[in-house]
Amino acid sequence: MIKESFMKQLLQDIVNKSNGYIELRYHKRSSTSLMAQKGRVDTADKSETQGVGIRALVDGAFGFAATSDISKKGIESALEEARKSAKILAEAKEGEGATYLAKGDLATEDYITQGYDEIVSMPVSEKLHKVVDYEKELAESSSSIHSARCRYREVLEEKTIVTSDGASASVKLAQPELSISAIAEKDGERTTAYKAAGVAGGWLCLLNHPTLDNMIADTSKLATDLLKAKYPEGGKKDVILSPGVVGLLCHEAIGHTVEADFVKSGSVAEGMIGERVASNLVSLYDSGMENFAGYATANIPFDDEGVKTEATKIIENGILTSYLHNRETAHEFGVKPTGNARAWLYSDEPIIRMRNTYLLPGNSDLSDMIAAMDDGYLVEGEGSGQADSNGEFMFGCSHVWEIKNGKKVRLLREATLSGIAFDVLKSVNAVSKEFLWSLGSGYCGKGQPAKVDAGGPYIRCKINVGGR
Amino acid sequence: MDQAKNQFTALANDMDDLARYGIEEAKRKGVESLQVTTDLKQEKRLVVESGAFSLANSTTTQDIHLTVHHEKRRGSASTNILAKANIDNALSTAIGMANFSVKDDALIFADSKIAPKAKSLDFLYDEALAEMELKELKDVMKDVLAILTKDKRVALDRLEMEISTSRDSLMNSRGVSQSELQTTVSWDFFAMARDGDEVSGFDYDDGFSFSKGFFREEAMHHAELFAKKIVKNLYPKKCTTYKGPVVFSPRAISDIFLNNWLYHMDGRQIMDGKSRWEKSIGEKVLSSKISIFDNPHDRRLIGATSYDSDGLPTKINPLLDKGVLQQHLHDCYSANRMGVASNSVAGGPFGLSIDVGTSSFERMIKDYKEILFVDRFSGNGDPITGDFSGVAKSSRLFINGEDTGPVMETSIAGNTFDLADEILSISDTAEIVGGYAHIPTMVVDGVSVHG
Repeated sequence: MIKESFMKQLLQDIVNKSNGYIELRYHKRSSTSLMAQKGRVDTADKSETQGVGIRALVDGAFGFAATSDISKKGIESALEEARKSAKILAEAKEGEGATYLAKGDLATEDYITQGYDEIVSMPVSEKLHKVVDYEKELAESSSSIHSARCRYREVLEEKTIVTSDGASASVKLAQPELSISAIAEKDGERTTAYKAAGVAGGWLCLLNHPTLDNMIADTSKLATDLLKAKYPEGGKKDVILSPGVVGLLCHEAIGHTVEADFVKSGSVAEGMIGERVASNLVSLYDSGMENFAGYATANIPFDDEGVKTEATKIIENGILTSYLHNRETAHEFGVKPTGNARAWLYSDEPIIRMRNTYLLPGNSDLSDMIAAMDDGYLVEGEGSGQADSNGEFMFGCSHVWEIKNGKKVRLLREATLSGIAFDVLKSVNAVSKEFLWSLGSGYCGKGQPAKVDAGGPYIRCKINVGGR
Repeated sequence: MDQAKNQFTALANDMDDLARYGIEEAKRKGVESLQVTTDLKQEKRLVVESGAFSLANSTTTQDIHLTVHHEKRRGSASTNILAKANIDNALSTAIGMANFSVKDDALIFADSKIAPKAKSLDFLYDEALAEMELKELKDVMKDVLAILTKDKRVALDRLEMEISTSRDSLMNSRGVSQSELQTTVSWDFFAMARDGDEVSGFDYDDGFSFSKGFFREEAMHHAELFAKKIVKNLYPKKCTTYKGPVVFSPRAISDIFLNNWLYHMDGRQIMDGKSRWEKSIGEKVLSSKISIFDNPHDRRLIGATSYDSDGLPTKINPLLDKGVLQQHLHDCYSANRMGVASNSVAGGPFGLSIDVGTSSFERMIKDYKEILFVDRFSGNGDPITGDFSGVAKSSRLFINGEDTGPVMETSIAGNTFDLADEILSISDTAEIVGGYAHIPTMVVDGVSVHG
């Protein structure tokens, strides 16, 4: 095991002897994957990847190289490769303008996040037995359950980042996640239901995630009830979106359009700072150190450029106030970096990614929001989604509740929600007090994966519902 | 140049030595069987973001993965550090994982009888491409970038080009030993169109080649087609709402239908009772217009490989013949469970082709008063039920055979099984989708379209 103080000193020694801007990131990722289905253990795997990723800024251009040889010689050799690559890029960029970096609030501390020691010391056998037990319990929960699956994954990260302009920090981080799914079957008809949660924390923190409350019984019941459910009617509808769906909206429909690299390319958020993009009930943030529940999956003290993370206010009372930046785009836009530069492995370069993206809770009660609705849906069961540069988004949900005259009347299966993101946010007319982080078991894909989280309160708005 | 090649070869040899070491250590520890895979990759990559060069990346990565079978239990572990101590550690971890696991009678590794040395596919490796440097790639990329940005309405978010040299190997304690060297040059475009305040949806495309050959011309031609296509997404109009025939592009066929069909042919789904086609070999399961085969030796497709991830030499597999299911897709494990032979598709299929039909595109659409052409599907599909629902992206409405332009916010929905016999026509040409499959255009009836 590499002591963080040793690695920090090694990287610092190399930086101290070098010219120009360089960024050295020692990054070790240990992943454990366990999966049980049909009484089998289909996956029992542990992988470990470590190395140093290096960016060098030479003649106004970035070169990147990485090495798994974490000796002084290995890292210095990779640094030379990064410099060579930077020079080639500088030739290519002739006439385009050099790359500069905004300074930012650079991290200089060492962190061990909550739950890290607990997860590391917990034997794999205990985790595996839990996975096997949960699968068995779900499979046997009802005669309608055709098959069940339980999956546990855990990512442990150790990072040390040293830059030539003052970042010098380390972190140990644990990100476990758990999911269960069931397929119910009757008369040849099949439906699926699942629950999943992920945290930055330990095993107990994970099991205490509100989403996993009563997870076996709830998943079993939902899968079985969906067998009898019809599809929703399509069209523009009044809806109440559950926190998980709100999280998906925040991440997919808004978050990606305000990532500064996408803004530069011409996303719909370009030139909209200071403009109204939502109702005044809406305030939306992306944070690296959330303080609502303390366990959101992407709670990271600093990003992969060594910039301390913050709660970045993207929308305040309906007004667009900020994009999400790395040091390069922050310089271009004349703002300070927001701590959004992230890399998946040591061999990946940092790019702009979200962290924990959410809507601020409001003042309404969910029960009052439902009672005030004549005809609409309560949308739950967030699935995957995608957003577009023109603000158009789509995501799938496993089920909705039909609301008639202020009451939940029946369960319906599968809805696709779509619309123009800012139009939907402008239609928000109620925001609940309740708050939940809900997407922590998911991964964002943007060339490289990233662990992210998203959530929020319940919100009432208008949206297109795709039915059958 | 020679030094770089020698270093790469030396690394590959070191990894093979470590794999053999791992197998010997496992034997010494009394482990029943061990399989080791190695993966070595050298990448040279250039990135353009928002029309400007932003990153040059030159990196070599490696990984050694060990899978243990002991007393009918499985465990696995991997490391990227090439040292005996790390192999020892990974082996101990894998053994530990196996010890805690559940017994499974069907666990099996291939042996050298069913997995003899595979005949190498010479087209996979091109020395000239392996020796190509970032400097030369930069010049090609400038040409491609010039084409993409010639029309000022193209807002290029990202262009990447990468030269990759990789070397994989698989060995196990039952005598199997395979390896493969491969070079690829690949390109990815991601862009939207912008005309004043009007912003289109984004689109993306990619291409590749195993050889240096004519890749520059291919990438430039590809860029030209992509740039023309992206500006045609500007100024979308509302689509009508109807239930009826829809034209699906090759990549929409891949997203909605092909992945669903493959799920139900998959041996793992068969053995778990999740497939609708468990007892359907020899029966008609789709339209008689559909024939599909997997050819792992097709040089047009990026999945081409001489051996599968069990170590068996790959072969051509007919999957569907005029709608009749020919076989399931079994790796050694699912084959063992089902009491059949593996058909060498572990980790695959590798080179799918759907047979083309007889209709030109113009002929396919001319008979319809109005018909939606779906280029890309952004949505969800349930492989169990076959339901799909989502948004038709980069899509267009044809009225009386004329292209009336792009459509906005159009949802489509249906069920792949209900639509199994609703394929009205198939184009006489096909495209390579994502580098991995050769797929024609199809008209499918009974789709719900909501404009």
